[in-house]
Amino acid sequence: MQATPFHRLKRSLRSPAIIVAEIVVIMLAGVAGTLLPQGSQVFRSGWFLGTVALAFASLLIVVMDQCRNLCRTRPRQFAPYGGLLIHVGLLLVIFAAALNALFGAQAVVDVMEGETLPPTSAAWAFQKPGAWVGPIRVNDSVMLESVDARRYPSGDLQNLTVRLSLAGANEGVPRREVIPVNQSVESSGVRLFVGSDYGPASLVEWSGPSAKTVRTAVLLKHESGTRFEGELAGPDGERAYLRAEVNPNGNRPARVEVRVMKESSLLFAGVVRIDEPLRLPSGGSLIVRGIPFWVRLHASRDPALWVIYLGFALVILGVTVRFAFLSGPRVEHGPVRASIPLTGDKKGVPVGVMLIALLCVLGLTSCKGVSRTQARQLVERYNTLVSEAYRRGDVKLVDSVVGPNEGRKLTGLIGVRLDMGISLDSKMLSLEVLDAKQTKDELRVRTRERWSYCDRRIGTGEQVGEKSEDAYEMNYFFKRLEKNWLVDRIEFAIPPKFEHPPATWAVAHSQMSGNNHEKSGKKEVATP
Amino acid sequence: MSSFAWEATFHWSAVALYIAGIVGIAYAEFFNHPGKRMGALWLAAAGLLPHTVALVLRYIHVGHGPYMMKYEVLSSNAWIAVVLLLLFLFRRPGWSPLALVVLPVSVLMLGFGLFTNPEARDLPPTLRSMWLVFHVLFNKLAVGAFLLSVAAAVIVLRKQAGASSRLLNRMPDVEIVEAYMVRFIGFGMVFWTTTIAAGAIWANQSWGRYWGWDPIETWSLVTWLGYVILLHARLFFRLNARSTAWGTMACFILSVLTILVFPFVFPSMHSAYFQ
Repeated sequence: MQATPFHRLKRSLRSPAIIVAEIVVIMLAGVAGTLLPQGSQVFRSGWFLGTVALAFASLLIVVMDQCRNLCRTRPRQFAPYGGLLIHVGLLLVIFAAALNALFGAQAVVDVMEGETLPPTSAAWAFQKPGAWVGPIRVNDSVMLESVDARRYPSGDLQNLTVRLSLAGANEGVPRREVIPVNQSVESSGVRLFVGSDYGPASLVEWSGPSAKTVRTAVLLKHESGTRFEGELAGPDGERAYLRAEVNPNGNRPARVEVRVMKESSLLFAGVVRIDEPLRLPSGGSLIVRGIPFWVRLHASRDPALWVIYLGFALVILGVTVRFAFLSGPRVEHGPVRASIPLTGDKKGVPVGVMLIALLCVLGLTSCKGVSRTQARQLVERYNTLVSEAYRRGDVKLVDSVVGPNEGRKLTGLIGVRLDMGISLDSKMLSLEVLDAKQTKDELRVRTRERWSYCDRRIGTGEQVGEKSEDAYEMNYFFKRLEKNWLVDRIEFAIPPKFEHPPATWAVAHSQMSGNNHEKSGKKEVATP
Repeated sequence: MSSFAWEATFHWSAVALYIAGIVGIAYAEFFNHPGKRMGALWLAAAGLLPHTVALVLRYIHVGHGPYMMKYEVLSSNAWIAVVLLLLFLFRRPGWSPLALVVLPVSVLMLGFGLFTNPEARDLPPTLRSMWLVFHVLFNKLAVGAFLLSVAAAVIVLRKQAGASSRLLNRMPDVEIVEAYMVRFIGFGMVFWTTTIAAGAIWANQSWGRYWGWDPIETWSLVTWLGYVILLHARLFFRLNARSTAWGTMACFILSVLTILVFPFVFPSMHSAYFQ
C-alpha cells in the first residue's frame, strides 16, 4: 500500500531527526532572542511560531503513538508512562500559551487615591488584548481608596499594599479589598493586582499670563532612594520639573521641589507647599492642590491559566516517573536502577566538545571590556545629564553618573551659579572618542569635544555675557561601582583652546574654597 | 564578634573540614586504603555542621533565604551539592571518587562566595512569595544533581580515554557510570523543571504573566532544552558514552551560565538575584 501524503507527513513529524531539529531551533531561538540586539522580536517571528507549531504537531503524534503502544503492551514498569506524561504536559503548556495569545488580555492603568475607574474598557490606559478577543473590561467600578507603602531606610521598597473598593452596578455596598504585592483580587473573570510602581502625584494648577489654566496630575516616578520625579508642560511653553521625597514610613509628602524652565532658561527653582501659590516671573502662577499617592494597577485575563499549571504538573510528574522508577542489573552494593536505554557503539561526533568551545567563546565575548561605542555612550550620558543639571540648577540629576569626588565638585559649582542667580546653557556640538583604556575597575576615556556656552539669568532667561564656542581634549576617569561606571574625575588632556573670551562671571570661581578648577574656561574641570 | 564574623568563622571551618575530607578520600582511593573511605566521608559530613550553622546565622541576620547576594547564593549552592553527594555516597561508598570532583567545586564556590561583598540587601516585596522559596530551592537541588552528573562524566571520560589507576579500576564499568550520569541528569531535570514551573507561577502572581521571555527565564528554558536534546539524541541516535559525557559537561556549562553568569550580563527581572 502506498503511503498517502498525510502518512508521509506524520512519519516525518515523528522522525527523530525532525524532533531533535525542532528542539534545537527553539533552543537557538532562545539564544538569539537574548544575545542579539532587538532579539525579543525572534519570539514573535513567523519562523519561531511555525517551529513551535511543528513541535506541537510532533508531540501530538508522539503522544498518540505512545498511548497506542502502552495500551498494547501494558508495561508493568512505571518509567514508560513517564515519557507519555511529559509529552502530554508539554502539549498542554503549548496549548495553554496559544489560548492565552488568542483569548487572554492584559491592561494597565495608573490610578490615584480617591480616583474611580468606571466599568469600561476605556478606563484602562494600556490594553494588550489577545488576537481573537476584545480589550479588558471590569464589570465593577474600581476605586483606589488608599496606598500604604513602606520603604527601608536605604530607600528600597519594603511593602506596598492598596485598598480597593469595587462596586457593581446593582450592588448596594461596595466590596472592599486589600491587595499587597504578589496577591490579587478577582472581578468578573479579571484578576486585579499591583506591581511595585507607585509614587506621589502632584496635583498642579498652572495659570499662564494669558489666563489659560492647566490642571494636571503629575505622577512622580521613583528615581532613586526616597526621591520621586516628574515633569509637566505649562500653558505658555514653560516646563515644570517636580521632585518629592517620600519618607520610609510612607507618609504623603507635604511639599514639592519645583523648577520652571522656558526653553533653556531657568525661571524658578524652589520648594512649593500644598495650596501655596507660586508667582512666576513670567506673570503666571502655579499651585499644588494636593499630593496623593498613585499606583499602577494591572488587570489580567487568562482563560487557560489552570491548563498551563496542569501542564507543568504533568511534566514534573512525568520526569519524576521517567527517572525514578527504573530497574536494571545488580552490581556492587545494591541494584543499579539506572537502566537508561543502552548506548550504542557509534563513534558520534563529539558534539559536546564543540558546544563547550562555543560556550567558552560566548563566555569570553560577554566578559570583554568596554568598547569605544560604550565609552562614547558613557561620556555622552554624563555630559547630557551634567548640561541639564547646570541648565536647571539641579545637581541631583547627575547622581546616577558621578562618583563622590565629581559629585562634590559639581555640587559646589552648580550651587555657586544658583547663588549668583545664573544658570549655564551649554550644548555639545561634537564628540570624538580618541581612546578608551580599561584596567580592572577604572576606565579612562580620552575625547575631543566642542561645546557652545551661554549664561542666563535665572527668572528672566536673559543672556549674561557673551556666547562662546570652545574645543577641548578631555580625559574622563570612570570607576566601576557594582555594575555601573561612574565618573570619578575629569581633566584636560591638553590645555584648552577658547574661540571667544570667557564670560566675566567666570572669575567668581576663584572664590570657591575646596574646588580647584579652571578659572578661564566654562568647562569646569579640576586641573591636574 | 559581629554576626558576619561568626558566619565567616563557621564558613571557614566548613571549608577546612571539606578540604580534610577531600584529602582523606584522595588518600583512601589513591593509596588503596578503602577502609579509610568512610572516615573521610564522615569528615566531609562534619563540615556540613558549621556550614549549616553559618547559613542559619545568615538567615537570622538578613531575614530571608539565600536568594540575593553572591555570598549567600554560592554558599547555599555548595551546601546542597555536598548534601546530595553525601546522601549518594553513604548509600554507595564505592563511588567516592565522585567526591573528588564535587567537593573541590563546592569548596571553590564557598571560597569565592566568601571573598564577595557580604553586605545584606533589603528584600523587595515581589520576592516575598512561597513560590520563590520553591523556585530557589529546586534550582539549587538541580545544580547539585547536575554537578554530580559532571563528576560521573569526568570518570566516564577518563575510563573512555583508557586511563588506568586503582581509583578508576575500583569504579564500576563505564556503562554503569554512564547510566548513573544520565540518572543524575534525570533528577536534575526534575528539579530544573520544578524551578521553571515555580518561577512561572510566581511571575504570574507578581507580573500577571507566567512567561515573558526575560533573558534569565529564556536561558533557563535554553538549559532545559539543552538537556532534552542530549537525552533525546542519546536515545534516538544511540550516542556513545564519550559523546554523552561531553554533552553533559556542555549542558552543565549552560546551567552555570544561566544561574551564575548571565544575571550579570543582561538586564533582567532577576536583577535582585546574585548581586
